[in-house]
Amino acid sequence: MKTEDHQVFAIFFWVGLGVFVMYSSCRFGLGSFRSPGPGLMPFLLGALLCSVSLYFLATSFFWKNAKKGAESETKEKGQSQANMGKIIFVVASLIVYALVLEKLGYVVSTLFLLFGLFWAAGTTKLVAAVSSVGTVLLTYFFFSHLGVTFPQGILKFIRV
Amino acid sequence: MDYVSGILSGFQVVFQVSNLFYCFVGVFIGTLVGVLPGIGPVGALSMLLPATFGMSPVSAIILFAGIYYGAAYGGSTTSILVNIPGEASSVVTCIDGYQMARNGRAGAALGISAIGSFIGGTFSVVALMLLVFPLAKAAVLFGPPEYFSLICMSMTIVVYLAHGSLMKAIIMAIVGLILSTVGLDFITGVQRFTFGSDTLQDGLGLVPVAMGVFGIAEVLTNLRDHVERTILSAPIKNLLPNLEEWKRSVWPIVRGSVLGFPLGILPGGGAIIASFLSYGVEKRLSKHPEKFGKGAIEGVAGPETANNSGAGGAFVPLLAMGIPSNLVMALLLGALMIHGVTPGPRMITQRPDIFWGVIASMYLGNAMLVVLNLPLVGLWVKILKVPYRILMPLILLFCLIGAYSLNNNVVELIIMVVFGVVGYCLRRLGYEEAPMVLAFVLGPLLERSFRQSLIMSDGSFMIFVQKPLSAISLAISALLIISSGFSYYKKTKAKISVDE
Repeated sequence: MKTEDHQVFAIFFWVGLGVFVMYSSCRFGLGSFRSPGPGLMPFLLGALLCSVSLYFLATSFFWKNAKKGAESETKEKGQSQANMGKIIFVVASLIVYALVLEKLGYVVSTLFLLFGLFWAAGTTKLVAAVSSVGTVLLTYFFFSHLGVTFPQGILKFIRV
Repeated sequence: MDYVSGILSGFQVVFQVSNLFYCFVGVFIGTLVGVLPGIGPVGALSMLLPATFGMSPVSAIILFAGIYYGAAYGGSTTSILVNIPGEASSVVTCIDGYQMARNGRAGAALGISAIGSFIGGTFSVVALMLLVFPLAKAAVLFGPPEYFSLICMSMTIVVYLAHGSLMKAIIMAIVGLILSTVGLDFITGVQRFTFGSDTLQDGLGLVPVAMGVFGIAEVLTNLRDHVERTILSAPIKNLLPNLEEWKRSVWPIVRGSVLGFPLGILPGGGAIIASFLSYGVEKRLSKHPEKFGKGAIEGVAGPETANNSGAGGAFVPLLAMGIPSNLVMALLLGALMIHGVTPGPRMITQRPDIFWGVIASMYLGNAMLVVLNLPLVGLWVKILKVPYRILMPLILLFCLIGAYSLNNNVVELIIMVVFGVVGYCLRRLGYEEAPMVLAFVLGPLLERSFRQSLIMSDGSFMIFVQKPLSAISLAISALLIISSGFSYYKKTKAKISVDE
């Protein structure tokens, strides 16, 4: 997909978002100008988003100017695909972390997360393991001292 | 309370051991995040917000203010030594600062940058102190129409000053306003865009959103576009400029101080504009403009002074009116509100300890920064050498801790990650996040003012032009929109004719 296609896709996304916001706003109740309802402001914003996006589409993309963008994209493609894997790994790790944090607890889940992140970032397994353990312990005691309550999870029987 | 007794009481507050400690920690962290490219004051403030829960409000704001103006100092170190700006406001320092370093004058560049920053920062604190009172007195008289129009003007200026595409900046501002409507309606209690989630009933939190689009998105962007850093390996000597360099720097520092402060008050990136404008002014006024870009000390002294002066100016709208002019101020607003303090005209009379404590801490913090940035420059150079593969997991972890500990809610972690991906995509597509997040912060006040104004006027929009201040603000907004619309039309037309 070319950069130009992504840009057009983004604009259609904004138009779709605007329509969705307008539709939902009607359900919230628009009220009147004398007595504005909860939907009035979002409705106006949705309408504005649609108008601006469509104007942007009309003025920007009905003429061809994508040559430069497409050329530079081909050069970057190989490198970016390799890095895209890392990005997906990091995002997936963060989501999994959010899902298991309360079940496994801060110490265990953060240990796994950090090990994965250090390793993905290019450190050796040993460095990743040592850095993860050190970081988890330091952050746990530092933030606990500041009053932050971390979930104990499977280690709740251990009292520090 | 007059100025003298006010500032004396402020020093009493800041000289308490705990506040002194937080002032130091603030400027230290500020310098650190300023030095490290990829993590700015917005990210640092978001991550540290939960850590302030156990502090008093005055300690929290002293810490946060220190991070903000400390980052403006630290940003110049990377600009001079690595040619990568640590902060957006230090971009222009790269041009001559790095050339000075290559010419063996890294010490002088760092020295004049720290001294200029100190003078600019101190000037802005004095100006801030003198300006906030009259503005706060005027702000007490503001009603919903004035607030609505002022916010409209702020957002128009932010969009107008956007670095990239104007249309994209407008779209971002509208999206930010839409995001601000998520949650229970403040009058009727109707749920808006909550999709059945209890967490979303309180609206989207500023911290997960800001940390997502700045912290997480920054990490993802760095993972994709890995940039090698080449740090100057030569030892840094002679941190004080020579006599000739002093002579050439005096007027740029004076002009940078005077120019930076009013530009800092402007909503959206005031310190950034101040540094660029200062560079332009110095180049134009110089007898040797051809030396700019090749290591002219004026090109470091002026912008570095201006951006620190601008950083102080940014506090004016927040302290006087309760309206944040940039994202850091928005986070400061959030931090104060979490502590039950509402910034604005009444805060100065109701909580003088906070107001004067912050002012006094800024005097002291500026002095601390000179000490931190000159003798300890070797430490910052070492920190610059910490590889990104070590920093990346730590940045992510601090973001996670920050987002979770705010409400001990994992849903906020997911919101943060989602906004991280959104922020990454927006960056890839050339959309700026700043107008979106600023609009997101100002959105609730804008909607409240809009609806209250309409109720007051029985549905008549004339209320916005009948009040003089409101009319002036709207007129300025309209002029900016027309001017930028015209320039956008001209650019588009020119492109079409080239393609044809």
